[in-house]
Amino acid sequence: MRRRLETVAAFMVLGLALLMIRAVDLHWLQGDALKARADRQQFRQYSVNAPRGPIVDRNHRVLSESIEVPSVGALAEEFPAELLPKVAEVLQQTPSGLADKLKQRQGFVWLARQMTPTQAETIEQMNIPGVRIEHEWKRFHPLGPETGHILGFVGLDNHGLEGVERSFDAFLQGVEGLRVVQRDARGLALPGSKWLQQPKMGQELALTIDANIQSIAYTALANGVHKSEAKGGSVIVMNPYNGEVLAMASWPGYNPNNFRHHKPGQWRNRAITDVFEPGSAMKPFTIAAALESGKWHANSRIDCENGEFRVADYVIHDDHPEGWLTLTGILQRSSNIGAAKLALGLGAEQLHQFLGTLGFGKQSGISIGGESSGILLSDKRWGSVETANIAFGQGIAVTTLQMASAFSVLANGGMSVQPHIVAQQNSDEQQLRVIKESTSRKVISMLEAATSDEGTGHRAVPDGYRIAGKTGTAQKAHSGGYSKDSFTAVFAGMAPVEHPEVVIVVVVDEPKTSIYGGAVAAPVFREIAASTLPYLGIPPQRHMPSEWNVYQVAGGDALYDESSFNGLSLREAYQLAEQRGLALKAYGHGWVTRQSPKDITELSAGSVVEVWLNE
Amino acid sequence: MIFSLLRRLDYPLLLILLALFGVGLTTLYAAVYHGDFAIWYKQLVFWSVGLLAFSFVCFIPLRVLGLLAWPTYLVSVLCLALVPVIGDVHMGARRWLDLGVVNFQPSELMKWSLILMLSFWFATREAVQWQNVFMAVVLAGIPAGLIAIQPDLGTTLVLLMAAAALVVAAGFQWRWLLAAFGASPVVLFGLWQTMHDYQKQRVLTFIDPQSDPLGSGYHVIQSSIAIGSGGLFGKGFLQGTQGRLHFLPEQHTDFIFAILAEEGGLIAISILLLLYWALLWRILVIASQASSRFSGLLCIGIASIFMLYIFVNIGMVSGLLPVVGVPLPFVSYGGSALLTMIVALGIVMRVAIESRDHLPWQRHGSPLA
Repeated sequence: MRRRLETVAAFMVLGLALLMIRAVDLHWLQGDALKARADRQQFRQYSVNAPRGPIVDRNHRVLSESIEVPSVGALAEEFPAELLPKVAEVLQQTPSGLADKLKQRQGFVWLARQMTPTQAETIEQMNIPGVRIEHEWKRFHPLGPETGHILGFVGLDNHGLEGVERSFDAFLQGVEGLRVVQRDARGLALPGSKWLQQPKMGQELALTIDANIQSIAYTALANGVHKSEAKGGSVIVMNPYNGEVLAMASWPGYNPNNFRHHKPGQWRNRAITDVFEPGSAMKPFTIAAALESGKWHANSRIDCENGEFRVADYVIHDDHPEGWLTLTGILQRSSNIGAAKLALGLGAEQLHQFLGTLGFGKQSGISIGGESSGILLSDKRWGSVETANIAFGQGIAVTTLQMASAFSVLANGGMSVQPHIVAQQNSDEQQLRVIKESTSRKVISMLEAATSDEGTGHRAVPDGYRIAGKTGTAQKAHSGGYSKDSFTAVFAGMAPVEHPEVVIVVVVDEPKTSIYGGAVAAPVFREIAASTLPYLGIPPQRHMPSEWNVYQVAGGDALYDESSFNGLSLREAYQLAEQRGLALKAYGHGWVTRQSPKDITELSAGSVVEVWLNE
Repeated sequence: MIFSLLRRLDYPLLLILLALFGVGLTTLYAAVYHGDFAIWYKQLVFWSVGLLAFSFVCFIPLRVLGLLAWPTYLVSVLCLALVPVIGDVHMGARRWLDLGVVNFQPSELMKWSLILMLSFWFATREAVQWQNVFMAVVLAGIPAGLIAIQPDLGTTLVLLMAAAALVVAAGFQWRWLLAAFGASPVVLFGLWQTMHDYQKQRVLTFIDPQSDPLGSGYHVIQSSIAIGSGGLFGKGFLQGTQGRLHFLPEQHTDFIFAILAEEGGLIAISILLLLYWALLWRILVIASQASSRFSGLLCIGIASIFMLYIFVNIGMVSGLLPVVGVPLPFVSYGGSALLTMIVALGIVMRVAIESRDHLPWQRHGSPLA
């Protein structure tokens, strides 16, 4: 019988040994896998957004920064239904809306993101099971609507959705932090998590924008749009020497801190996305092209056909019919016919090529998304009508930014500019000569004349400053032709004339009280210039000395430069000769068509110059 | 009398019981530390009541137990028979009788009364005679059938295995046992046909726990993770994460072994298994020295039930066996299971005491020897 007892004992030893073997198996053979499995279900790693880098203006004033705000989330299955109405009230939501959120899925759901601290505190004090407060980063733009279009905005996921925030998202984004938290079988996180990797704040982005000029420009544009009952508008203030955008404003504005309350149409940065036909504001470039070609001089005269000029089947009109006008006169009187004749004389290819070098028809590369390239058709598709039209700004579409950088070329003495808005960006940009310095000086003189009391742009002149600029009024194109009652009013110019510090382009879209650039856009230019110039340390002058070598002669309606007698009447030629102290020998009648020597700029006083008139 | 009783006590068994008291309450402490700690105090009360009962049982002569064999057996069967009629349905099975004060599980009592019954039956009979074995099969078969229809597969199997162990100890022939094993596929197939869907599901999940990780496989996966991630020395007392984070189900009752394994590691498992082996070994030693065939068989039966509990519970928690609700002796929380097991040990102690009624030179030798 003892053997039977031993048999039972043997079975028991066997059973216990089997259990021990299984325990060793789980520990040693499957231990690592099971440990990994334990970690996987007990710990949850989650990424934590890093604060985005701030965006600052040229003077390190903060334009955009990330601030910490509370958001409230809950474990859907633990949220007590009876508290629904109370929580909804605190979060300013409807109880049914809140209930829908909780029904969306199991586990963690957001109830309200980016609340006020007071709301968060109220919720926290309610101490609701399963509800917890998380801290997130919200983007705050101190200047609100003023910089809204430039900066764009940031979505709930901490990614930039528009503007600079979007274009430089990678730069501004920091490095996400990695946090590990222990959680229980229901997925509830336990208090006390630890960082695997601390979040790293994004880099600071400095813009070329000057917050003060931006405010000035935005306010002036808003005033101008309201006064003229216009649909919208845009303004760019640019440093003509290096292409830095000092201000870029669009109307209608929107508040990027609250962007969801605005229509997406209002988010549009019109200064770079919208194109318009510049109208007469294009003429300075036609004149510059003519001067560059060498075929005309500043005082060359063009027959403006008394206001009616036929090109192919098409008749071009002038608002103020004129006879013979110098190039200055063409600009000052804004003659379409004069500009058209110059363009036809230049030829499509040469004009197209010139406009191309000024940056029309292509994106400037300002590095904000959504930039339009404008419309500049290939010159192969230009007939004589198209060539003539483009000369006075029809059949070409430009952006406010393109206009500003093209005017900068005129303003800075003829060097190309790379428009940019990010300070770090202009590094080794090489500036190329686009037009001769003398051409630039002549066009500036002419543009100053266009803002004289007789010019269309006289409303653009601030007290105590000399400016140069051109108005433009263009019918808006729509499908199948031009609108009869919607116009674009433009004023593009620079100040001060002596040494242009800023180029300002003002575009007003569909003004109602008046349609003219001189009446609608020019006052906006004046308002901006009048505040910006003193801010930049350029004092107004009582007496305005002329530093340019220009001479106001013969009734003060025409300006001539001293490098040539060409185009002058005999009386004007004698006045210029007297001014320069030159001895003049003249042959013939009418206007000077040839001179000898060809270059008179270097001649010393007493030298003899021969001129032939109407030869 | 007390003095002579103290002299005849089996001190190794007492020591083992006290060690189990310590290990059991310590493990339960860890299991309920992050939950409902009142459970631990309740278990302490159960232990106290149990130890009192243990002392009381030490005074009951085995003779009396023999006289009680038939009555307890019949009462237990009657209670089992009443369960389908007036029992409480709990988790889809009808297992409980409401006695007004406490809910009581007749199948729990049945195991012990069957052991008592079979020990008494074979006390004067050899298991080599067919009619004796046949009667034993009837005695075990009636309650096993009643429990099987509750349904409670685990208890049915434990009951049958304990009965089989007793029959083997009582002299059953080996080749018959082998024949029974040969017939087992047929029996298993029959069993499968009569099983409820949830039971089939359990068996299937046991074969491949990953097939249903959030359903019935969940328990076993989580307890395996707890055991496997414990390592050699464990995560430390009260440092177990599987339990604290509520991944472990039933962590203070059926799955408490996982808590011990996670926090104490392989070392703690070894200690517990060694302790259990010491217990079983001591009971068998007492059986071998028992003064009567009845008391020897009784000890073997009790040891078999302990062994089955240990094997089925740890086997289940570590994924060797399907999930059946069996407590881990002296460690799992639960009043009635603990009390019955301590009382059973009291009976073993009584066997030891009675085997020492005679002085060594007067002893006739063990009737089992």
